[in-house]
Amino acid sequence: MHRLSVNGLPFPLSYLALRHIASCPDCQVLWQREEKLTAWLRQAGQVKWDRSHLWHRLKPRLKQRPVVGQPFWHRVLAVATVATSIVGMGLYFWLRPVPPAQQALSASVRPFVQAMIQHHLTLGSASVADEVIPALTLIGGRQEP
Amino acid sequence: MKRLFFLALLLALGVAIAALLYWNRSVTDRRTKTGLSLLQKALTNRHKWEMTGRVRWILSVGENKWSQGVAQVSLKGSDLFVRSAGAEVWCSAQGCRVRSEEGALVSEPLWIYQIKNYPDRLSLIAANYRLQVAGKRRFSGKNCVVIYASPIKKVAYPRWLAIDPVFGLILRQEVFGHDGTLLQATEWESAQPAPRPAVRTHKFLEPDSRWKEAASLLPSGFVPEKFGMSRCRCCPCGTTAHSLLATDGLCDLTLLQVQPGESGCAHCQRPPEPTGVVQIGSLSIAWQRNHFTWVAVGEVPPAVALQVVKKAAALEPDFSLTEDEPNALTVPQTFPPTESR
Repeated sequence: MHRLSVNGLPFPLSYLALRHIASCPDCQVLWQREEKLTAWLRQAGQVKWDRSHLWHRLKPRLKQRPVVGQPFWHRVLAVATVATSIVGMGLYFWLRPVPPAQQALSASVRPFVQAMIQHHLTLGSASVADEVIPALTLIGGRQEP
Repeated sequence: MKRLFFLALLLALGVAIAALLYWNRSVTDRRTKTGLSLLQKALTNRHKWEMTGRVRWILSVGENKWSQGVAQVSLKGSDLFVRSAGAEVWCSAQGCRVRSEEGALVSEPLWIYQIKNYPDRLSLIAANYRLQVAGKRRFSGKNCVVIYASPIKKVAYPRWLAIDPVFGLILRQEVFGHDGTLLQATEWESAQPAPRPAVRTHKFLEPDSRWKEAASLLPSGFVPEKFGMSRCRCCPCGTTAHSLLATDGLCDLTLLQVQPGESGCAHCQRPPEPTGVVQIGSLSIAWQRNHFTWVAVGEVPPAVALQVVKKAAALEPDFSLTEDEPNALTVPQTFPPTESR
């Protein structure tokens, strides 16, 4: 029997393919044809082609050949996809939640030092870390950044 | 034979994957348990010890600017003093005073109640955060375990905590925004824990339907913990505010209902804008004026704080925190054991 090779397939697939081909005559025929074709193509690949000659032969035929476009609905679909993407991105950036505008620290925080102290008083010391003290000291001490 | 070999190989692969997943889960669970036990120690010791010494902090003040400061924290009797450049914060059972070049701002608590049977902070942390032990570092001459606490929902900030495993002292804390920007870092350069004097104990308050309504205003994962009332004592305005403290275990948020009226000194004046939000470090302060001025102060993103005050103002007048001092329950005092401020 012709030795079968399944190069290119990963392990469990190569094993399963070999098992099936060994037991199926139809697939054996197909596989051997495939092997022969592969061998011919390899041989053909070794022939040196004159590419410029090929191009000279192809060029006039390409010009003569009428351009066969893709179906119209393909173009419509492509244009619609691009348009939807652009509109979608525009809507996303336009409608996305914008973080609320924060006001200048020195001007607006002072009226709320009282609120911060009330937060601190309610908190007591039950928190893991007292986050209010640094802010209070910053505002009280007017340390500029 | 080959088929058997193939099946055995598949079985071994499955067992290996299951073992890997189990190992990964057990490691994550172990790290979470270690983090929780350290945080439990930290929470317990905050009621036993008052941290004194020298503390350094850096705060984000917006527009890619930061401000840093150093303060000396000391304890005299039952009063806590924080002295920094140009400012002094004094905390006692009678109230809290911030003194600066512009004068003093004093606020006194009239009453504070602990809401009965609220979930303890440790179970809230376990429900709201993913904890990870990230390594060991040395701070203030002590070997610390570094814990990374990441909130499950984006209503709070992620943070690093360096905890001394012997005493449960938090010697460094870094809070980051959701974009990875440092918002606030606090580090004790020298820390001496001092025994906390017992000054005041909390009374307990039976939860009623109002707390369920209040809970609906709060961000996901936050539960009401305390209810109180305080009054301005620095000027004749005497403005009072009812406060509701909520927590998700690590972060605290206070919703304040400030009484309407003419404001007094510069600190008691209200901003001209009807609504707004500011952020200092990890602390957001949002306000919304209706009949009352609703203020939310806490370690939450500005949008979250603003949403809370807008919801509260929209519920007016059906929802209000205003009431006379509630009747305390005769419940044995168990938590917190002592309270100095």
